[in-house]
Amino acid sequence: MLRLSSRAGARACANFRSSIVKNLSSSLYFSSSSITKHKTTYDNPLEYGTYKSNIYTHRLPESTAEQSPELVALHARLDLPKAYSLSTLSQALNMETKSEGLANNFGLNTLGKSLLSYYVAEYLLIKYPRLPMPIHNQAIDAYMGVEPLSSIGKSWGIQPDTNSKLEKYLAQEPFFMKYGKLRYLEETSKEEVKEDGVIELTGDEISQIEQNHGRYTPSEQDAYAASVRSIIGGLYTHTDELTTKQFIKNHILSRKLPIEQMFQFQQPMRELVRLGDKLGFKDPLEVRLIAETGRLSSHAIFVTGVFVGTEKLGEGVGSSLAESKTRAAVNALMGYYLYSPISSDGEELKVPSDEGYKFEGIVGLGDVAI
Amino acid sequence: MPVKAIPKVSVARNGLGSYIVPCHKIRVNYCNWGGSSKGVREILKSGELNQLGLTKKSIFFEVVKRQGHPSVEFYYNNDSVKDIPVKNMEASDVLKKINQFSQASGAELFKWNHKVLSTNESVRGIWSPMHVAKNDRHKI
Repeated sequence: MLRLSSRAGARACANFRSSIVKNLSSSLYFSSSSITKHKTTYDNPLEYGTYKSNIYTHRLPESTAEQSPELVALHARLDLPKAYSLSTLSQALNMETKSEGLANNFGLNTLGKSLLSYYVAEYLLIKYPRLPMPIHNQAIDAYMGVEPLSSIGKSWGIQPDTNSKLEKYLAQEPFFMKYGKLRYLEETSKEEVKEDGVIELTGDEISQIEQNHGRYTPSEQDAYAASVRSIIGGLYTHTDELTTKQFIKNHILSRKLPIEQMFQFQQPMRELVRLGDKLGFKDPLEVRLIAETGRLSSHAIFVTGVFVGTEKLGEGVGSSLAESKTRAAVNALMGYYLYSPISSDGEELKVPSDEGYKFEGIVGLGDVAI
Repeated sequence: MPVKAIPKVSVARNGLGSYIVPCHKIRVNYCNWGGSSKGVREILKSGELNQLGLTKKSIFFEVVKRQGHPSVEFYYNNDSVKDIPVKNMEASDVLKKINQFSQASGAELFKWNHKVLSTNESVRGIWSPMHVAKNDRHKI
């Protein structure tokens, strides 16, 4: 797969370059990725057959992969089809960029990520067509961000390879055992003495935290997430799109999305008024008191509703008039944003990649500006 | 920005869509000499453990020969390990223990003193005295 991906990248670059160096037939090289430092050379940029990689990568022989009990168990645990070879599964767990020359999961990861983002975005757009843009993006992250994917990887029982060569030698661990483990640590960092609860950051990691607005994701989490994406990518290469889609549906979209906890309104009443303008309500928005326990009671409770004419848009309960009014506005907004259409026969809507898809849902009107 | 997003992570619901057995590894520790390992040695010799391994393909079985009383360690996907002593047990009892703990979730056992344990909200909602028709409301 690494070979495939570097070719795809090379193709894009070749198209770009061919406009500049059309008649150049001398040997050129460029870096296809800054992470792998992988260089591809070619005699003619327009002939893909002449493309050569500077790193000799090979795939793990199936006979060696079969020896790793953890790999075989993982294959069975995920209920992967027989066509999914164990060597690909082992490759999906290999994050190493410079080692014995085994193909790593760089390409599978990219492929898996593309598949995931398509199916997750499609599902969310059809299920919640009116989600505001920031919530939609965050919801995609809630399904396929690093955190959820790494916890999925953990729940699949993938174990990281943390033992150094010396420890493996002393434990008399057979060489093939590591092929069933998540390999993301370099030999030097495996040998480091670690203190529980203390993480030593490298210069690269510190600059990454600054880029990510103070958020730190451990490299282990990244590796777990990449392995999950790569396993999905591997499934696509060995089987077909339908199987991959079903796998994503079963393992990722079956999770519960706490979407009602993801909204943070700055000025809900104002937003509701703007939304009303956009939707062209004929009657003005009104806030009416529905019930109260009595404002002189020891713990007064007010029930307030937001109305348009005779239609109630939302209702809120609060211990003051202002609180209940704000809650009513939030309730009305949530009712609008979290609307989920159903098909004419009352079933869940089909997504565009389903067979016999017919558009039945709605298209959101876009966000409102305050 | 009218509305901001709060980052959340989707919640796992194992068994919905797909089911992953939480126990991913079983390590059987036994002694080749001691009398307390007799039962474990029997299941190893008779091939019963092999048979069990074939029925539980998603679990990685490791057999370790070491000194001392025998035990079976169960490794779960929530990073917990349960070390179950099986000293002086009959072969059938050892197999029962392996069967029992290989189906466990790995979580600590706890008593739940409520009727429902769920990640979902109540479908019915909560009864509110404020929504009773005005004439029927409780008057102080």
